[in-house]
Amino acid sequence: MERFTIDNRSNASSIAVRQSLRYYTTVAIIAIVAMMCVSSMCRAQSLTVRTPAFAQPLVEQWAALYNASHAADEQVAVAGRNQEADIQITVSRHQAEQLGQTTTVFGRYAILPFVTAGSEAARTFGNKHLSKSRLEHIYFALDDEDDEFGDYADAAKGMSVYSGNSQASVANSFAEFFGQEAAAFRGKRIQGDDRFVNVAVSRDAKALSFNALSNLYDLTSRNLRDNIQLLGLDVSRRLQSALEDNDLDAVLNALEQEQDDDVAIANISLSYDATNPQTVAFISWVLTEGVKYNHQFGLLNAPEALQAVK
Amino acid sequence: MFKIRFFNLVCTIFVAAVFPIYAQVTTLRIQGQVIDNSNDEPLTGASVAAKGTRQGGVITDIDGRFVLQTQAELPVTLRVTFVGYIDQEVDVYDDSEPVTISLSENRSALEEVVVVGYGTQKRTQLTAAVASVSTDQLKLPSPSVESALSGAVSGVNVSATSGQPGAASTIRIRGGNSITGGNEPLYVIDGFIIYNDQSATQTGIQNAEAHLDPLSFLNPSDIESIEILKDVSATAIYGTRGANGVILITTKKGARGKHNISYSGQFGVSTISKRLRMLDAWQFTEAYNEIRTNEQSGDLLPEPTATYDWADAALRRAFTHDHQLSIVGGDDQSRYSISGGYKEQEGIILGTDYERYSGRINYERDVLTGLRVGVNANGAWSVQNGLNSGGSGWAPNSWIQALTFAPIVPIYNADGGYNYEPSIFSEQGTNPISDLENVENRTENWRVVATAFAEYEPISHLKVKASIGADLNHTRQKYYAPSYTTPGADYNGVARQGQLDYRTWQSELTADYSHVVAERHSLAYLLGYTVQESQRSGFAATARGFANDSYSYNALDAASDYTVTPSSVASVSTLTSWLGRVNYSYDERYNLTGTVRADASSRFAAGHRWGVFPSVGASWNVNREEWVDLGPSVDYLQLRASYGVVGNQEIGDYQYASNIVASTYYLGGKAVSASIISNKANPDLKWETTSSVNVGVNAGLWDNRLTATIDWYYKRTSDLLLNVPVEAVTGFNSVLRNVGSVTNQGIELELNGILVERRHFTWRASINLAHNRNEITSLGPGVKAFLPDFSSVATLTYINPLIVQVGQPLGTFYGYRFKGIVQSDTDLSALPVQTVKALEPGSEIYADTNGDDVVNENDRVLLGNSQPKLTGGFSTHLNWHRWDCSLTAAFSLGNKLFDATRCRYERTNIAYNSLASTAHRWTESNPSNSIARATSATSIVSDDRYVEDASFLKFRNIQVGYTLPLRQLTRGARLRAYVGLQNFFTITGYQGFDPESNRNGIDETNGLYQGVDFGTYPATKTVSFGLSITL
Repeated sequence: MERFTIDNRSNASSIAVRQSLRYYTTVAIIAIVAMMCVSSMCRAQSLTVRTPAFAQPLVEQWAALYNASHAADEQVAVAGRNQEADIQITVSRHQAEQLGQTTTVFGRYAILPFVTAGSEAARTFGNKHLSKSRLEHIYFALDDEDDEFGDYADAAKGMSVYSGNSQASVANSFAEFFGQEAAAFRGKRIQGDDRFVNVAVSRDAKALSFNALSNLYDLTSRNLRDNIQLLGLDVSRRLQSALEDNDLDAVLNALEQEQDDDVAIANISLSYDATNPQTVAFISWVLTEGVKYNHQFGLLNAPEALQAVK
Repeated sequence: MFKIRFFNLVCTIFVAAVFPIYAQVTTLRIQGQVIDNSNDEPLTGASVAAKGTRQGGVITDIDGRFVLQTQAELPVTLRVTFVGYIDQEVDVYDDSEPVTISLSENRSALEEVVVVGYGTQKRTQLTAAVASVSTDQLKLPSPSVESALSGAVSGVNVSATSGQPGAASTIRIRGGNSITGGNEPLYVIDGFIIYNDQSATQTGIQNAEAHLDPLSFLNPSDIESIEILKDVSATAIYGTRGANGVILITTKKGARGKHNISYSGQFGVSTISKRLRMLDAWQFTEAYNEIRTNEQSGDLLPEPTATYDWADAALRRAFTHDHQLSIVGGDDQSRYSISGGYKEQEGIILGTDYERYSGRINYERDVLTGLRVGVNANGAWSVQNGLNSGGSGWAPNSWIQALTFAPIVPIYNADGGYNYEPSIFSEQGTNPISDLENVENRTENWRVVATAFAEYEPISHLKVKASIGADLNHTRQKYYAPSYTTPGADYNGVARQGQLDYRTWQSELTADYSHVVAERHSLAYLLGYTVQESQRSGFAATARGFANDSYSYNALDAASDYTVTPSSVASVSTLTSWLGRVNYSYDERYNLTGTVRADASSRFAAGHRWGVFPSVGASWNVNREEWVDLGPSVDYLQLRASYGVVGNQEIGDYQYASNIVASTYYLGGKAVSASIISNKANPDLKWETTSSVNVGVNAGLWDNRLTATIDWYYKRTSDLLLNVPVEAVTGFNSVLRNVGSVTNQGIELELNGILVERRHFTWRASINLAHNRNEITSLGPGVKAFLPDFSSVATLTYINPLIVQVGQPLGTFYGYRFKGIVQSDTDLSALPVQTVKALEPGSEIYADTNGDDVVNENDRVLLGNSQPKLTGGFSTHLNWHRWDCSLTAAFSLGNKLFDATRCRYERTNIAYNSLASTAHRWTESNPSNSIARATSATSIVSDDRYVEDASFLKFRNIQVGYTLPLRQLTRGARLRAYVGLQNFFTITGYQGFDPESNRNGIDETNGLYQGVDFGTYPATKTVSFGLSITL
C-alpha cells in the first residue's frame, strides 16, 4: 500500500501563522468589547441631556464647549436612545408639566407649516397667504367652522395632515398656539421624532404638516431642506421677504424684531433636578454662554424675564 | 490542539452572543397607552395591531396600556380600534418611547352595531326600522322599564294605567292592531322571549285594584341597551308574536380587564301632581239642602262649623329609596356582572306602597377554543300594597271613596282615632281613610327569568348556539277587609287569597354563518329551531264572616260564609317554531334581508296551528355610490323598504274548543254545582295576521352632527278575533271568529343632534315625532258597530262611553251632544222630546242629532277618539367639565279622554261629595248653562262635555349632576351626585288627575276599553337626589 508522507516542516510554519492570527484576533475582540464597556461606564457618569433631534446639534455644541472648559466637572453628553437623562429639553408647556421638574426657558422656536415642494398640497395651498384662522381651519376639524374659512376646511378634508404624536413633538405647541389640543389635529399621527414627520410628508403628495425651523432648514447651508416648501403666511412684509429669500438667518432676525401673531412661536426649555449642583452649574453656563448659539442652530432667543434660574 | 479548540470556543461564544442580539434587534417592542380623547381616561380592551402584518394584535389592559411585539421594521403603522370609537392609525418611526394614542368617539350612526332578533347587525347593513333608546336616556333614573321608553322613541306610546307604585303600563308600537287580542309588544330579555301578559300577576281575587307590573322583576338600572323593532322586516323573525313590535332588552355584562364595584342610591319625595277640588262643608251643605228642598224629601243639614278635607287626609308626601350594588369584571376568558338592588316606594295614597328585592347575574366564559358558555338570570321578589276596587255608592275604588266622602263628617275623633260614628253617609260608621289604612290588598310576586347557553364555533364564521331558559313567575294575592271597613262591614270581614303560577320553558338551537366572497359580497345565514311551553295554574278563594278581624287573610277556615264560589285555572300552551334569515350585502351599498318563520301554536284549532310568516327588506346606502354626489354636508344616506307578514297569538288558551266550566245554580233556593259549556267551539280559529309595508330614510349630515330617520308605514291586521253574535237557538250569544280587520298607517321622524362638542362641553339634543292613523276596517259580515261591555263597572255600565265602529279608530267615544241647560224662561215645547233626561229648568238639553224630534238612544253620535294626532318626545343632555344636565319630555297632541270621574262627580248628590265646579251649578239665581241643578238623581249619560282634550306636554326628567373623579382610589373611581325632578311640570288642559290616565276597571290593556279615566290613581311629581360611587 502506498504511503503518503506529509512535509511537516512547511505545514508546521503555516499552522503557526494561522494560530497566531487566531490568537491575536481573539485578543482584539476581547479588547474592543472591554473598551466598549469602559466607554459606557464612563458615559454613565456624565450629565446626560435628552433632546429632540432639531435641538441635538445645539446640545452637542454645548457639550463640546462645556466639556472643554470644565474638564474637572461632570462631562455633558447627549443621552442615548434608552438612557436615563439628567436634563431634558422640553418643547411645550404640556411636556414640561408632565416631567414636573424645574424648568428654565433658554430660547424660543418658530413652527411653520409646510408641504412637499411640487405636491398636490403645494398646488392647493402654496400660493395662499394663510392667517392664523385659516391655518386653524386647515389643520383642525372644528366644531364651529367659520363660513368665511369654510373653503379652507373643505380643501383640507381632501388632504392629509400629519402631526407628531410623541410627548416631545412640537405638535403640542402648535396646537396650543390655536387654543387646541394635539389630539384635535386632522389626519395622521407620527410616532417618533419630528424629523420623521418630514419623511412621512415626503411620501404623500397630499400631505400637509408643520415643523420647527431647525427641522425645516439645513443648518449648514441656511436654506430650506430639499423638497420642502413653506406655506405662505399672512405676515409682515419683512418676514414675508425673509421667507421668500429662503434665508434662515433673515427669518430669525425678522422674528426677533417683530412679534407676528400669525406665526406660532413656543418656548424651548431645560427641565432638570435643581438639587443637583453639577446640573445647576451647567444650566447657568447655558444661560450665559450656551444661548449665544441659539441662532446658529435655528432657535430664537428667549425674553430676558424668562431666563432666571429657579 | 488546545489553541484550536480555544479559538473555536471563543468564536462560538462570540457568535452565540452576537447572533441573538442581532435577532433581538429585528423584533420591535412597541409599548403605549390608548386613551379617550374627550377626558384622557384609559380605554380598556382596545385592539392594537401592526398594519400589514399577519400577526395578531394585542388588547389594552385596565390602564389602557399595551405592549406589541412585531417582526416588522420601522416605520410600523399601528391600527387601533375600539367599539364606539373612530379607528386611529399611528405611523411609528421610533419605538424608544411609549406611544400615546387618543381615540375619539364615533358619532357615525351607521357604524353602530345594533341588536336585532337573534343577533346583531351593523346599521349600514340594516333593512329594517330599528330604534335604540339612547344611553343618555337609560342613565336617567326610571321607576320601570316601560317608563324608560316614554318619549324616547318615535311611534312608541307608553300609558301608565295607574300612578300606583309598581303598577303596569301599556305600550303601543305604531298603534294597536287587535281588538280582543293582546296589543302589547313582545319583549326579549337577554334572548328569552316574554310576552308581557298583564294577567300573569292577577290571581282572580276580587277587589284588587291596580295590577303589579309583570316586568317589575327587571331593574331599569341593570339595562345596558334597549332596541325597538318596529317594522316587519325586523319583527318577522319572531313570527306569531311580532305583530305588535318587539322590544329587545340587553342587561349589563362584564368586560375584559375591567373590574368595577359600584353603588348607586336614590332618595325621593313624591307628591300628587294635581288635586281635584271638591266642595267644602258649607258648599256641600248648601247643595244637599237645595236637593232636599227641591225634592221635598228628608231633613236638612245644619250649618257646618268646620270642613273636613278627606282627600287631604288620604294623601301624603311619599318617600322612596332605591339602592343598587353591582360588580362587573372579566379577564381574557370570563366576563361577569352581578348586581343586587332594593327599592321601597311609598304611594301618595295611604296604604299603598311597593317594595322590591332584585338580583341579576350574567356570566360567560370561554371554556375551550371556540366554545363559550354562559348564564343570564334576572329575578326579583316584589310586594305591592294596593287600593281596594269598588266602594259604596258609585266610587270605583277606595281612593275615590275617600275623595268624595261628605266633608261635613269628621275624619278623626277628639282622641285622634278614626271616627267610626254612623252617619247618613255611612250607616255602618265606616271611615274611608281607615279603609285605606286597614283594608289589606297585598300582591306578592317572585319571578326569575334565566337562560343558559353554549355557543360553539366549529369552523371560522359558523356559530352554533344552544340555549335553555325558564321564566318562573309566582304571584300570591292576599286581601282582607275588616268588619269595620266599607267592603267588610256588610259581611263581618272579607278575606280572599289567590295564587297564580306561570311557568314558561324555552329551548332554542340556532346556527349562523357569515362569510365574504370576493371582498364585496357579504352573506349571513341564520337557521333556528325553538320550542316554548307555558304552564299556568292558580286559584282564588273568598271567605266571609269572621268572629275576629285579627285573623286577617291567614285563616280562611275561620270564616262562616263560603258562598262566593272559588275559582281555579290550569292551562298549558306550546309554541314550536322554525326560523331562518338570509342577509346579503354588496359592498355595503345594497342590502337584502329575507326572513321566514313557521310557528305552530296550541292555541289554535287543528289544521290551523301552523302559520308561516315571511318578510323581505332592502336598503341602499346611497352615499357609497361613486356616481352620486350628495355634497359635503351629507355623510350618509340610506333608503329602506320592507314588506312582510306577522301574526298574533295572544288570545288565551283553548278558545277554539268548547270549554266546560263549573258553575253554581240555584234550584229551589238551594245552590247546586253544575258543569256547563261556556262557549261555542270554533274549529276554524286561527291567527290574527298583520301584513305591513315600511319605507324609511336614514341620513347623517354635517359630519354626523345631525342624524335623521324618517319612516312611513302601513299595517293591515286581518282575521281579527271578535265575538260575533249568533242565533239564540245555538244556546249562545256569540262565538269567537276571525272576522275583523284594522289598519294603522303613519309617519315617524327622529332627529338627533350634537349641538356642541368640545373637550369640556358637549350638548346633545334629540326629538322624535309620530303620527298614526288607526281605523277599524271590518267587524265581520253585517256588523257595523258594537258597544263594549262595561256591565261589571257601575257608572260606566250606564253610560257606555265607547263604541267600536267600522271606519273609526279604536277608542272612539260615543254619546250625546250637550246643548245647554234648561233655563227658567226656556220654552220647553220648542224643544224635542227628551226621553233620556226629563226636561225641566236646570236639566241638561241634548241635541236631536237625527232630527226626529225625539232625543233618545238613537241620537248618540261619535264624539272623537283617544288616538293622538301627534306624539313624541324631546331630550337634551349637557356636559360641562364635571357637571351634567339632562331634560326629557314627552308630548301628545289631539288625543281625547273620557273623564268618567268628572262625568259622575260633576253632579251633586246627597250620598257623596261633588267636584268644586258644582258650586256654580244652575239655580234660579245662577242660570248656569253648563252644570245642571242639584238633584239626587244618579242616572248619568255620556255626553261631549266629558270628552276632553287630553293633549299634554310632560317634563319627565330634569336632572343636574356632578361627577368627582377619585383617582387616588383607583384609576376609574368616581363619585356622582345629582338632584332631579320627575314629572314635575305638566302642561295640559285636561281637567282630570292625569292626561295619560287609563283606568276603566275592566281591562286596561284591552283595545276595546281605551280612553276612559274613571278613578285613576293620581300621577305624582317627585324630587329626588342620588349618589353613585364607582370603584
